[in-house]
Amino acid sequence: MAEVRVAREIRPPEPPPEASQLGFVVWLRKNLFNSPFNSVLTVIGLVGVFFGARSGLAFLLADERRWSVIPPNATNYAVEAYLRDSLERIWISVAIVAVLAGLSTSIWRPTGKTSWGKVVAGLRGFGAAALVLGFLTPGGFGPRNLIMIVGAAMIIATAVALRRLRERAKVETIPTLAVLSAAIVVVLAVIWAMPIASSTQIPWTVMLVTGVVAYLLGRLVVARSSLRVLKTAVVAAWVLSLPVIYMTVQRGPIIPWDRVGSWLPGIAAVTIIGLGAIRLVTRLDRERAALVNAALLAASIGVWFVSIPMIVRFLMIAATVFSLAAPTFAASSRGARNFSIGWVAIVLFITYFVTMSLTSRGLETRVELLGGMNVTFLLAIGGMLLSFPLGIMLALGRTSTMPVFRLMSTGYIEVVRGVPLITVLFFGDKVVPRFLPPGLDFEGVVKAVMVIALFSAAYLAENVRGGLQSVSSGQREAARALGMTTGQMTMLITLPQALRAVIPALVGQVISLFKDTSLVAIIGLADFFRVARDIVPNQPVSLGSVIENLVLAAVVYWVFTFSFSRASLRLERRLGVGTR
Amino acid sequence: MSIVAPQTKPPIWRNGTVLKWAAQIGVFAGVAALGWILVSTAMANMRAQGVSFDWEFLTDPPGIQLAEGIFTRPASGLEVFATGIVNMLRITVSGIVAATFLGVVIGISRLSSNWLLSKLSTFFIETIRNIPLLVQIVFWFFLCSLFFPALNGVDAGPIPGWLVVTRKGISLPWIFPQQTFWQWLVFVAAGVVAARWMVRRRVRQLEETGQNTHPGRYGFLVFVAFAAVGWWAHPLAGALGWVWQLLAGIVATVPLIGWQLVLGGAAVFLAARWIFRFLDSRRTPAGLARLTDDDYFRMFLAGALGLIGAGVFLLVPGLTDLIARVTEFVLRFFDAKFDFLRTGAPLALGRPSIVTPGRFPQIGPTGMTLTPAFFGVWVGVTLYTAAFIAEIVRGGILAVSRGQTEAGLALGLKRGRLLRMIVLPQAFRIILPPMGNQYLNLAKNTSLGIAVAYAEPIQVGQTLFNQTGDTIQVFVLWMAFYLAVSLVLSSIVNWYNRKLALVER
Repeated sequence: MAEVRVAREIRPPEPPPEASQLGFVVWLRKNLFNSPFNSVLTVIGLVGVFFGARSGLAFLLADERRWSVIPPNATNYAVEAYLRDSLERIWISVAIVAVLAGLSTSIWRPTGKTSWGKVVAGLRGFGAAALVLGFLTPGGFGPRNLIMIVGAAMIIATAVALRRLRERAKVETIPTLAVLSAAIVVVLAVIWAMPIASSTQIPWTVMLVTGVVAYLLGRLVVARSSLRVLKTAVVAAWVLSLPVIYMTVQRGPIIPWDRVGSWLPGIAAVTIIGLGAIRLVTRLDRERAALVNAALLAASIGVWFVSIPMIVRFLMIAATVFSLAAPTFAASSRGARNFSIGWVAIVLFITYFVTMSLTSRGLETRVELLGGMNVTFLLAIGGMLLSFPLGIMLALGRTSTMPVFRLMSTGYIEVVRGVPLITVLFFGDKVVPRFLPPGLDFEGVVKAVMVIALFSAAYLAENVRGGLQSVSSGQREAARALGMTTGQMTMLITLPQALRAVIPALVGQVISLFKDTSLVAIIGLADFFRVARDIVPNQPVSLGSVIENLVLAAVVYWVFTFSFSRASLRLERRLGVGTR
Repeated sequence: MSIVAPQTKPPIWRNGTVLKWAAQIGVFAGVAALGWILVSTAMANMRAQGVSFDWEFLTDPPGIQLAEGIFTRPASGLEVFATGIVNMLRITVSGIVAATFLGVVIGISRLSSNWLLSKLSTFFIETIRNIPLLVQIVFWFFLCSLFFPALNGVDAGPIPGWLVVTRKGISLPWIFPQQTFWQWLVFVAAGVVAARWMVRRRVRQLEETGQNTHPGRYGFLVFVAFAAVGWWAHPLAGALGWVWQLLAGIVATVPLIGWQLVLGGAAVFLAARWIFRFLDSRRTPAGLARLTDDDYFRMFLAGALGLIGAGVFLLVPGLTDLIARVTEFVLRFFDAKFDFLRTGAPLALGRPSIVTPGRFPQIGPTGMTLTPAFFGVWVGVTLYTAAFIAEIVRGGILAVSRGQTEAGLALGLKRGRLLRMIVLPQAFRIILPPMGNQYLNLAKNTSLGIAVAYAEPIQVGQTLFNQTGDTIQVFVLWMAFYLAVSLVLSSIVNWYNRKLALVER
């Protein structure tokens, strides 16, 4: 029988040894050879890594690989068949994004800090990776030795730096903004030092400078005006930037001004009706407000039976929705003012959207105008923006107490989640045209955005539903006790908390949506993946460079999704989701 | 003085129930109207183009060839789909097994105390998860079809005669079911039942006496004994052939109207039974509980579905006919697999071979041959799913409270045993639901095989509608197939989940 030992006194645990006392050998023994089984695993792993990485690198760096065909095709990867004499339109799009990014940085100032120790450790890891890669790369002298020398130099330099910095490395920090500035400088240096993309040296420099200038201007404005208004304006500008870029800037539409002019009286009339309705509904008692709403509802159905421009019919529906939602959002006088501004903005946006949808593009091409990374971004961002409202509506429908809505939402969600995306894409590509009147069909890209949004909304709805269920019923009861209507309770109490709780899941959904955009290659859209798989390997100069292009595609997608997931981890930590 | 609210009913436009139902019926009517407009447009379009909506392409010769599968020269549209479905199931089933194994190993490795192993697993997961599956599938396909060794002669492969890896495909030795396999299967199934009985009995003994009765070993022995006896005794099971024959005969002789009545009656009966059970579940000792809108709606829906089902069976004889014919076909299929006089081993080993029918050597049919397309899709979906499963496994293991591990260590369990007997069984309960989702994703992701022309349902369907123009019908078949797969897989997972769930008292 084992002897039972009883501690006579409780001693405080000894402090762990200082990290600097633990040498490399101790680290090895602790992490790689701490048991016979682990030692065997380590040896097997090392041998596997050595041969695996070596043969992989030998395959990728063999003489037959033609990596030199990648840089000349940069424009193809980015925009594919976009008219080469209209590329300035692409640059204008990039500039819009750069300006918005600069402004946003100045408004939401990145507050994070990085310690010097982390930066130096990162550089050391980089050097170690270079050393290992150089060691594993087969072949004689040449770039291999250069890589190894650089790696070794980095390790030695960082070791010296760490010794010099010692304690200070842990304490002293660099603001994220400084890291960002350094990154911009490095990118500029790379652009000008590397000969690979000489044709875009000047445009990219202009874009970076534009972003920096926008940041500085933003700082000036921020110092002088209300941050709340600015934030709203910039968020609205981000949302608007997508239709502006893809419907106006890149299509060069031919706007039929006389037709648009003939709509104006109707649009003005509906705007005034909407404003009046919002005012009436928020002032009158419930019974009379309901009468106003009923009249609007009747009018919005009635306009479909008289000959009136289509846009007026849409606007009437929007007016009814706004009037119905007015009691929820426009209870206070300030709320009413903001709500009215929102209504006018929506009228302008719908007018813009419908006008742009009805105009033909001014740029002549035989094939789809948009392609490459450009289209991948459009599909991902457009699909995401459209799927959010739809997904939230479906989630609300699925958790609703009204059985018909619940049945319809549940049916939609389960059917869409049960089939693969490719069937839904084929549905948009091949089946939808059969259900539309002859002559009415959308461009392939537009249909793909809609279909991806419809598909993604079903998954999003399940995530949001999880969030809705996580909101405690006490919150709802409190809202009821305060006399809130169901609409107010949902929009002001339940949804904000639900959405906050599921941010990680939503980002995960966005990441998988981004990866899923590659499927449009199967239905023949020229997205980035199709350019890399089919179009570039079939060009005379780069004929047969399949593996090179596939590796490139993998790396590009990886960089994007990996940075998304890292950003989402940071966001999660900042919001403190799951820690409260 | 007290204020007494007037006890009048609210007017109809302020009655919550009325308003709610009006809104629901209004929206439903709107959706139905939209659907009706779309369908009538589609019918007008088809009439204008002179296309008719029918299902004849399912029985007509399609005039296409498929790259691989059970019917490479299908005689009908049905055979085309059957080939696609079997190809899809091949990847799904083998992929699920492989991805589970790989995912569990990698997920555990990521938590290993061995720095190298855990970093390697992290590297694998972060690489595979962040690259679109489509890119990976196309990559593996091209890697196989462009860079594997060429098929030069009969001595191809790393191990000639056993393992052949070439640009034309990979061939492995495999155990193939023979003519008598189905008869043997009856014995195997009986073995499973008997082994279950034996395990339960032994477990009961163990619980009563506290002595190790080795339930697992005994169960396994019983199973092996049944399988071994069946290996030679399987012709006895051939007698079942008569049973199948008899049943098929009955199905064929009952007139159609009989089946219509039976199926229609079954629909009404099921609906009625559901409604009565539902009412029972709402009954409390104090009488029937107040039913909500939702409850009435459910009963209404169940009743309506039952009546609609009965109506469809009675008014559309074609559907009942199809069901009867499929049943008969299945019974005849079984009948053909059983024969008293059939002898021989139920399984046989097949080894890869190289044949040279014309000028160029080809991989022969004797081994299990995987085409480059199969290789690409299989490796792609397996690795991709394994990466996700690994993360699920890691999360599940971390979710088991640390006290369990410490208690196990305190009892003197070694790490391997601790993992196997304490941690994994508890983690499994957490892991199972998300794992089921991954299996579903794997099944759906096989549809990406179309990118490398692997003959799965989407690819064969596309080939078919390119020939016939029956896009809507093919789309309906796709939906039906994938929804059925989702339903089957999720009910298996749910059933297993219920079985594993903690019994709460």
